[in-house]
Amino acid sequence: MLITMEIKQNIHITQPAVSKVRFAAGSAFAFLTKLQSAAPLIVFRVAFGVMMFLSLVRFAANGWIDALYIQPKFFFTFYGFEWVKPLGAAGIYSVFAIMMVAALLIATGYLYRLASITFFLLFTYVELIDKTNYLNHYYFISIISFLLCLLPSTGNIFSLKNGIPQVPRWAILALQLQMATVYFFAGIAKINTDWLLHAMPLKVWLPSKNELPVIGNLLNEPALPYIFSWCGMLFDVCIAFFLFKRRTVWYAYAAVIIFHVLTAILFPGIGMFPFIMIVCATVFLPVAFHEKLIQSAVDSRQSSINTNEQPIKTPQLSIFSYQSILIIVLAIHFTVQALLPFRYTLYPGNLFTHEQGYRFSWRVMLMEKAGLVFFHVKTANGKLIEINNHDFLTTQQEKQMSTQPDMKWQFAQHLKTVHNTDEVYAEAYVTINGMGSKLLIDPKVNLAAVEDDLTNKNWILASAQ
Amino acid sequence: MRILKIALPVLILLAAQGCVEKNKDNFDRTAMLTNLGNNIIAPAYTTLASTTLALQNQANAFIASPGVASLDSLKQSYINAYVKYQAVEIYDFTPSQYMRNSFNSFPADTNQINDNIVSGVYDLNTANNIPAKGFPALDYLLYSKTAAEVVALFATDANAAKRKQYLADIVSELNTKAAAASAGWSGDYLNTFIQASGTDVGSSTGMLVNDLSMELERNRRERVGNSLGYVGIVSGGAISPYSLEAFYAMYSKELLIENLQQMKTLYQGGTGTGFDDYLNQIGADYNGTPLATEITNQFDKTILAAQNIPVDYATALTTNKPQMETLFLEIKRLVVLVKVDMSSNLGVVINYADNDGD
Repeated sequence: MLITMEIKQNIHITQPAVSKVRFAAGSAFAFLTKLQSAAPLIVFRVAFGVMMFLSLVRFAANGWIDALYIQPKFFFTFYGFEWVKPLGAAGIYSVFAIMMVAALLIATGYLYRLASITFFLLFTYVELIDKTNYLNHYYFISIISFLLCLLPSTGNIFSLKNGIPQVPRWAILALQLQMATVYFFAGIAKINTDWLLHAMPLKVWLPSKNELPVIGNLLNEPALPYIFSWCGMLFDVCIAFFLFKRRTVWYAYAAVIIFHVLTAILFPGIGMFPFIMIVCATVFLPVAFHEKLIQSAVDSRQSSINTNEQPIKTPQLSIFSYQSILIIVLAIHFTVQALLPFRYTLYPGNLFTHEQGYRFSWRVMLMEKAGLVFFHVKTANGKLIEINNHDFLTTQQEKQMSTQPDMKWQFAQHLKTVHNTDEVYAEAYVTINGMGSKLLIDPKVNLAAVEDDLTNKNWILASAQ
Repeated sequence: MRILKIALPVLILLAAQGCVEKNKDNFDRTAMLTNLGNNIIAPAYTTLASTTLALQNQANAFIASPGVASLDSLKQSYINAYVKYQAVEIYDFTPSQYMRNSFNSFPADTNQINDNIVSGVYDLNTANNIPAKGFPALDYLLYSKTAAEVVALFATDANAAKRKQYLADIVSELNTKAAAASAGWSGDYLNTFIQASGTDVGSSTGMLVNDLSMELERNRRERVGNSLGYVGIVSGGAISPYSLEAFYAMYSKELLIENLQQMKTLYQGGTGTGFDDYLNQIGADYNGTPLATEITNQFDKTILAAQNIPVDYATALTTNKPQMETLFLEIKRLVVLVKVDMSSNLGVVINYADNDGD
């Protein structure tokens, strides 16, 4: 629609061309707004709400609210979000309690709009407190809950007795497209020499699990890391296409289950992620399946729920309509989603080393990276003294900082303040995918005097790349 | 989908083949843990327990009749136990968890020790008494003055009786805890240790690599770095001989060498299977050299740097500072190799915290 408006102002464009573009936009709009059964959306929302509630309960039960948001004395904020501050014990526990309620409301459909917006804002707030805790799957949850804010409400689960409502096609397509984005870019990220030609890091990770029952012995097989690397890459890149196709969707969904269950067995550390993906991928399954599922869940005394056979009215193409605004917002969202994983190309050097553009790109379990950093501050008498990082950071924060350059700079700035010094140096070693450890950043660069922004960090050593 | 149709049968075929084929390129961590547990760790605790028992006997003899001769015997048994203790300080497993706090928190808090003796009222289990007990407290009590003066403190001083009691209490705690650890390692725990054969959090391999890293860091920071004034803002960068282990006995050099050698023994598995074999088996490489060789060489370089200092470390801080600095840098090099390269190649998480990852 925007295109149409721009073109209208261009006098050189002939009239038939204008109408052609307008026709294309019009039919795209008609396609996206065509009404269909809301069953996949309803099932998705119920499942997502329940999964979120369980994940939050598990998170709290493991004591992670305390460990990650109360214990730390220092928090690594995200660039541009330095204003995000932790709330203290009472505050953060309240936030989690509200999120739990919101998750249940999303599942039941009560106060849907309020609940989804609340969940999105609070979850994203919690994720922004400390980048130590950044996980692709938390980012995924933030995005899904953002999409849920925009999707039409479908009433609460008890109103389903009166029939399954209808929603425009874009509502379900948006969720499918987001799932596809995750898989596809996770697959694209695996197309690199370490992953495909050297089977790293799986060559390290798989044999280290060889004590597992049944499959343990198989994990010593030298060819296995290569097979898993290639299958994993092909799965991620291709799976969305097969999920979109009606003819292959069930096979593809079976593959989704096998893939995620396998990762859950091999890497128990990834927590809820495999199960969240298995549940969310149901959004690709046929409408009939979802309708049957809802029907069997609705009170059996009811004869049968009638799918609303309202006459489908085609909405008028208008830029100011509620729907077109939402579609434009979603178009912008998916454009950003498609571009973010490639922003690393704006930086010179090796992405795995400098990690500029690494986050928010669906780079999941992509490398084995370990590090160690010694910080030195200059004291009042001019001597350089090594800091014990553990005096300021939790073990989890130390671990994440040991491999990520931007966190080292943030910690250096913190040391500058707490030690009231003008000079802070970092002697940092990292190993990536089994390569011998190397100095990561120039130990002679005074990090206290360096400004950090989104431009290239030239204090990261080229020799490490 | 077509790809998966091809890939899945391939996987299943491989699985079948994996079950038939026995001769594979795998490493048997259970065998390594069996060797380390049976031949290195458990015997080290047995030895320690026998030396702390001897220490207790000598302490009782000295308390019964304080004299230069009985003090000398006590000092010998103290040195012997302290040396043997170096072989177990690495391990922080269930039967001997937090042993380091009871045995070797140096430097000793001499004010706290004197306060405890004078008041006669203390609970050695409280946090503020951690630096007032164990080997560092004995170091202060037995070595901070001439032999004649020490004997006098235990024989004729106004607080002699209380001091004797304090000595007895400290030695008794050492012996009780060493005996308990030894009993634990000789009993069921050895099996628990061997059976936790994974590499995840809580596995024996994971804990050993973490413990090894932590002990190396302790050597770098506490046994050397603090005395040089390199580490910790408190010293303000000035040298601090007082921070050394066994400062009064002037025995820090011998203890550090023993500690490093014991860690090398653990790393190599003595004459059996150890971490070096593990690294070789999985083909871990360090810029063209086998990582196992690189680490072994670095252990040797570090031990040599520790031996090369011709005087005791307290003296060396002023007379041979460059050599002390070399020692510090060699340990740091070893820390990086073990904590970064070795752990990463073995797929072991260092500094693990209970959390999700992706």
